[in-house]
Amino acid sequence: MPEARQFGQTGAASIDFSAGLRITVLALLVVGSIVLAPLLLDTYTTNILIRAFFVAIAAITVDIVWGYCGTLTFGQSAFFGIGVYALAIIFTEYGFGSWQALLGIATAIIAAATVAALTGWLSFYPGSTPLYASIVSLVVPIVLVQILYSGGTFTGSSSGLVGFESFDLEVENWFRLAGLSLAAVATIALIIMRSDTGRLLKALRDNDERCTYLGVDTSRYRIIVLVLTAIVASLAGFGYAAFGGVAAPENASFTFGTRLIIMVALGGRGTIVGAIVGALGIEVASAYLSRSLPYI
Amino acid sequence: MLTIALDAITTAALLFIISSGLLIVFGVMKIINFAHAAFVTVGAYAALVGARLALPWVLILPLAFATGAACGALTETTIVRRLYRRPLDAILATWGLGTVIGQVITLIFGREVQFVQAPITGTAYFLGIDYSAYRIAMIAAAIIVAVVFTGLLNGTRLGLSTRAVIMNEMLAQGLGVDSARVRLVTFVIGSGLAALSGALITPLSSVDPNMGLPWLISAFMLVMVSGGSLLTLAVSSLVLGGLQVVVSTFVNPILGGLTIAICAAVVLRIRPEGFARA
Repeated sequence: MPEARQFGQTGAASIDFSAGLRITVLALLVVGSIVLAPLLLDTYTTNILIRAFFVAIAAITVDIVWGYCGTLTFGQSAFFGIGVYALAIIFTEYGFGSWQALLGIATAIIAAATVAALTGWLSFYPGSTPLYASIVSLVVPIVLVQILYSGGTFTGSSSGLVGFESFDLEVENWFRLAGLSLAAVATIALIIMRSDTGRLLKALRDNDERCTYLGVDTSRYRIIVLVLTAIVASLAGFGYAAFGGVAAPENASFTFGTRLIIMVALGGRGTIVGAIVGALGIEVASAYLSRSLPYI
Repeated sequence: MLTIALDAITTAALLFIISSGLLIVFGVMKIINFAHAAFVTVGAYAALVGARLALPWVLILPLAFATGAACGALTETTIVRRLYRRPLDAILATWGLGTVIGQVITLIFGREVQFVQAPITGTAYFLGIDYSAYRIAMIAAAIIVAVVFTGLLNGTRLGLSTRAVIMNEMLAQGLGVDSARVRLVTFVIGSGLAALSGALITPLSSVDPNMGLPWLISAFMLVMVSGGSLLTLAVSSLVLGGLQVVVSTFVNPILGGLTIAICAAVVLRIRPEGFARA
């Protein structure tokens, strides 16, 4: 947020040019380093970072729902899991191919949007409290994981789904794909959050009641935000599973939802960059720590 | 048929005992203690330790209550007290605390599932069928909890202050009620009750570091639906707990475990005040 203020308050006529230049340089730097980085990093780090990029996209959605709209959500992991399982189930059932991939993406988007709309309808209505919305968001992944457990061979139950054929890309290109997706999501999120829409979302967070007085249908906005972030999170999950080739119930669990919250809290909620820093930091650190201290 | 009815009532009794501690904390502090599940687990392990030391159950239950109360006192003074004005952060903090407690228990006792022998074994002949005596004892336990609770709230000075804080904290403070003390005592009693319920459910389920969690969601939803009164909590435990037993028996147990959460969410959506003033 402080960053947002700097940009907004420069104030003079020349800002368009200098800010535009700065942003272009920054974008070039980011894209350049994403494209070149896999040539310098070892395979292990590259692998970890690819996963971390997808997780970071999910963390951004948590940041928007929690940091900007003020609903503490444990539930984004459920949408991530929906994406993971949409890919795994379809590739396991129908094999790998281009129409299966498109079907997978469509399924992920539709399923995530439906579940999110239902969750939103249950959590946001005139008179509901943020506390209650949090509890519902905790219920969603728990329900989903129970359904996955009871799905038998279709969902792979507690051991998940493995061994399906997936996209055949080189690790370097996965890195570029994941990194650029993350950069794109982050940029779109930053642009939206600095626009009037973003201001409206922050107003929802700061004073929901007053927004209602001003004629804003707060419940509707919260539901829309939830549906959109759910779609993004499910696509992140889709990419995660496409790279990893594994779908596990843990991908949808509230434990993962809590991890996302910790990432955002650590990196700084209400700042998109913070969510990314937190997610990458925790993912990479825990990968290296669990190698040397496996039981903590 | 009678077995299912008894199952329903005893499940409701268990749910009532577990949720009552959460309810009182929610009533006074307007926050949900997400570490409740961890306190339930702490109580269960206290019972396990007590049983290993061959203590009689008359001592095990107070031991569990005291352990939970001690944890609660520590939590209130160190964490929750600082977060009264930020309820969402309080959720996060207590949730984190719950995770930490779970990990500490894992470090001390290990991951494996353990069992505690029930103090009352065998079956009782009840209305023409044989039924687990311990489960019937749970009904008595729930009634005792309810009576003691109501007695504390309505018959003591502290209960009076507590009710005042629940109704209007500002006004109560203005009239000289030490609301910080009321909050501390409530939190301690709530945590103690959580641990007590953990000790009570150990003979029915196994003991493991995450055992509190499956109960937690049901307890949360029951508290939200009941809107802060013990009577409506009892009603909602009976209705939703009964529904859970019916679904588990006739449809499938996994769906049964989700019945309370889903039904309660739908009830709250249609009727935001839940079962209160129904």
